[in-house]
Amino acid sequence: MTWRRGILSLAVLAPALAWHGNALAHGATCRRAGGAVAVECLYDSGSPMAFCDVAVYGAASGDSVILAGATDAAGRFAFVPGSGGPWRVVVDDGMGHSARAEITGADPAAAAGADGGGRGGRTGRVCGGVAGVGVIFGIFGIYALARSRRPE
Amino acid sequence: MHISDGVAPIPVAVAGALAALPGIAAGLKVLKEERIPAAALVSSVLFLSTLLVRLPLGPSSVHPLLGGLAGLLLGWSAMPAFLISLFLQALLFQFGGITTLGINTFVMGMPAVGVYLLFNGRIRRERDTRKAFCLGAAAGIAAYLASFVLWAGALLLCGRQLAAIVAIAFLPNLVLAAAEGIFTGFIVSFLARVYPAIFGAPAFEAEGEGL
Repeated sequence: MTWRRGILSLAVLAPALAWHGNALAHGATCRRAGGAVAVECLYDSGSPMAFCDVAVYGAASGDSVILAGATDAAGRFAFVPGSGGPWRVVVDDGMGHSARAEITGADPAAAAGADGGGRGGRTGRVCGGVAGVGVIFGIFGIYALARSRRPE
Repeated sequence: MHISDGVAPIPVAVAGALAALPGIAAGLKVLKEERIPAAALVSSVLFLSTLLVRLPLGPSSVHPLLGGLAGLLLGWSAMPAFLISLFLQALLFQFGGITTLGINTFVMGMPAVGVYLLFNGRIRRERDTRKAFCLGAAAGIAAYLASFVLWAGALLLCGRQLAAIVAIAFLPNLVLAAAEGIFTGFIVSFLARVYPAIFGAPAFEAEGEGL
């Protein structure tokens, strides 16, 4: 009689165990979504802003973050806009460097061109460097002129 | 070692600006006419060194500060020199930021002034180029590490976690501090031999007069 009770118990428990197994995956599915906007965040040196915190702000959300995440190893982050935007994406490496991008959902080019780092590549940097040195000497020159005209 | 726009809350940015102001005023007060070309030159070097020399280390990149060299050559006037170079870096290349200009000036400029107060007198009196090298190297390393400590402190005030800052940034910056120390040592030993007046009297007279 004992083995009959064992079989009966298993028969009763089996549906319950099977139901529990189904519950682990209940209602959870993943599929590829279209319409995502991806940003790529790079330091001015060209290296990716990898694994940095990302916050997405909407036009109506003000300072409230509507989506948070992190970039991948290549400095990329993607999200699917719920409307046309604009969306403000702020990437922060936690070390004092941040990049910003203004994105509209219908304009992927806006995302591709968005970064908060240096601008203009190597040529732009050289031109900016030369201009900056000129401005520095100009500022100190004006300061020298002002000091020389100051009455003793 | 710049802190970007938007990273610092407004109270921290204002506090940084207020902390930097006295040093900038003191630097302008002691900046005599004959030292203005040197200040312009050093400010240009500070501007370009950050711009052109970037070493990819870890997830980010580090760049020389040259605070030790600026402090030894300019004294208190290193503060306005840093201010102008940082302003143009923010304006032209978005390094750092306009709202964080005060913090960045304080973080990079005050260690330069500290190094000037600690090392400049000894370097002026030093005739041995090896000892001048050692003093210059010590000044370069001290200024860099002090800037790192101030920068980490500023980020803590901005709500960052100390463990994350140290984990990511400490080792690369330690390497660069050593490199900058060696570079500063070579420059100082060379200048002490060929043009010792560059570490010269005007800054000391100005210190007594201005502060």
